[in-house]
Amino acid sequence: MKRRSFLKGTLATGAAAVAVNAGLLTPSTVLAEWNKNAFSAKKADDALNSVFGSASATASGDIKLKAPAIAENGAVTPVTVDATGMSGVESIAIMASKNPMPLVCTYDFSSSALGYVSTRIKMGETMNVIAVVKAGGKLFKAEQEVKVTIGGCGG
Amino acid sequence: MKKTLLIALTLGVSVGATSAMASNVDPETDRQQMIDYFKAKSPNIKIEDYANGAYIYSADKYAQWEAAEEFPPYLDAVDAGEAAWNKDKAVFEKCFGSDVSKIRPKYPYFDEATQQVVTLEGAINKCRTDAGLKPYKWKKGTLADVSGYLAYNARGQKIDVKIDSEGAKKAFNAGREIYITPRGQLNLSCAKCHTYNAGRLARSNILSPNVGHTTHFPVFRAKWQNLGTLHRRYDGCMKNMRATPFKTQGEEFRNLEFFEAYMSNGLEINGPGYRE
Amino acid sequence: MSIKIRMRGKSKGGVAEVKALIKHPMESGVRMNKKTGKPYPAKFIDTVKVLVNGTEAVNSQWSGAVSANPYMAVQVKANAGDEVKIVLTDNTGEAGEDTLKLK
Repeated sequence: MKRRSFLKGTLATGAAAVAVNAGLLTPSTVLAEWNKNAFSAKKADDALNSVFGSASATASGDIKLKAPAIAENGAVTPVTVDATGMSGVESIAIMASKNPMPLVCTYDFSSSALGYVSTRIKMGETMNVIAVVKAGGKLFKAEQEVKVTIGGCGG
Repeated sequence: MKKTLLIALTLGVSVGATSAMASNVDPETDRQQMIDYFKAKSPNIKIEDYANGAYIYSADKYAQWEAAEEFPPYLDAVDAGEAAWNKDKAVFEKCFGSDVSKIRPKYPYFDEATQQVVTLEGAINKCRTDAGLKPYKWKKGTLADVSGYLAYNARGQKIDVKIDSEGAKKAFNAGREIYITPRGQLNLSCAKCHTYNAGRLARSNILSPNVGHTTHFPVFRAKWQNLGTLHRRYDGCMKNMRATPFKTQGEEFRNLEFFEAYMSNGLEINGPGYRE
Repeated sequence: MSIKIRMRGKSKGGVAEVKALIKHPMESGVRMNKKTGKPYPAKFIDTVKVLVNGTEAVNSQWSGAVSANPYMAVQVKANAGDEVKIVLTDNTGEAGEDTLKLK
C-alpha cells in the first residue's frame, strides 16, 4: 500500500486539499504522517515504542476500561477507555494483543478534550484488549480479556 | 457435519420429539399457553421485554447490544429505504396509503379473497409488479431497506394479528405445524431450540425465544453488515440445521410468519433491530 | 465521493460527548478473497480529527482493525452553540467532514 507523501507538494489534490482549502489543516498538521511503523508492528511493545518512545507502562486502576467478557461478534467489539479521572491525559492507544498487528488506534488530546474514547474494534480470537494512556508524561495501562467465539446459528 | 453435531450435543437434543397429529388448536389458547410457559420458565422477565430477543438472557450481551443500538448501523439502510419509497411514491401510496407509520402493523394478515397469508414484503413486491415495476429481490437489498424504513416509522405500535375465520385459523395451524415438526439431518424442530431451549447456548449463541421473534425485523445482523428480511433468516437457519429451506415468500414461510407474528401479539414493533 | 458521517452530541456542564457513526468498509488489506487467493485491497480510514470552533481537540490515527462502519465517541470541552467538526481521510485519499452545532 503506497502512502501518498504529503512532503512532495501534493497538497493541491485529493483529500488533504479539501481540508487545507477549508483552512482547517495547516501544512504542519498535514505533514504529520500516519504512523506506519506503529501500525505494522507485530508485537505490542514495538508498537508502543513507535507511538510513545517507550513500552513500559504501569498498570493503573484509574483507567476505566470497558469491554465485553464474551464478544458477541469479534468483528464489532465495543471498547470504551475512560481516563477522565486522571489528570494531564495526552493520549490513549488501544491494542488487541493477538491481532497480527496489535495497535488498533491512537488518540491525541489537546487541552480542549477529555481523556476518553469509545469505539468498536476487530478481534479475531480470544485475547486481551489493552488500553495505554499517556498522562503527565508517563505511560499507564489497563487490560482485560475478551473471549471471542464462533457462533452456532447463522444464516 | 462436525460443527452441527456439536450444536446438537450441547443442546442435549433427543431426536424423538414429533407431533403425531396435524395441528388444529385454538390460536388464542395456544398463544396464552406459550406466554404462560415462558412466564414459568423465566419469572423475572417481563413479557414485553421478549421483543429484545436473546439479549434478555445475558447482561453482558444486552450491554453490547445497547452499545450498538445507541448509534445503530442500520440508519443508512433506513435512509436508503426512504429514498426508494419516495422514488416510487405514487405507486406505493396507491397500495398502502400515505401514512408510512401505519403500514407495518397491518402485516402479516390473512387475505380472505385469496385465502393466503400476505406479508409486508410480499405486498410491497405485488404493489410493484401490479404497477409494471420490477420487483425487488426477496432477502436483502432494497426490499429489506424499504421494510426497515416502514418498521422504523411504526416503532412502538403493537403487533396485532387477527384470526377471524376458518381460513386464518388453518393458516395459523399450518404455520404451527411447521414450527413443531422436526426436520433435516439433525431432526430439529424450531420449537426444540426456540421454545424448549430458549435462553440456552448453541455454541456461543443464546437461543432466542419465539415470543418476540418477529418484532424487530428486518434485522441488521452484525454478521451480514446489512438488513435482511425474516424469510432470509428462516432460510439461513434451516440451512444451518441441515434442512432444505422452504421457498422465500412461499406458502410455508408465510404461514410460519403468520403463526410467529400471532404469538408475538401485544409486543411492540421495534424494527429494524440490531443483532449479532 | 465523500465519506458519510453522522454526528450526535449534547453539551452538559461544559462537556459534550460527541458520537459519530461513519459509513466505511474499513478493509484492512489482510482479509483474503477466497476466490482469487489475493487479499482485498486495503481501504480504511486512517486519520480522524475533531475540532471545536475551529480549534483541534482530538487527533487520532486508525488502522484497518477498527470495525467496519465505525463508531467513535469522544468528550470535548464545549457548550451549547459551539460547533464541533469532524474531518477524516482514508488511505486511498477519500475524505469526509461533518459539523454539529451543539444543543
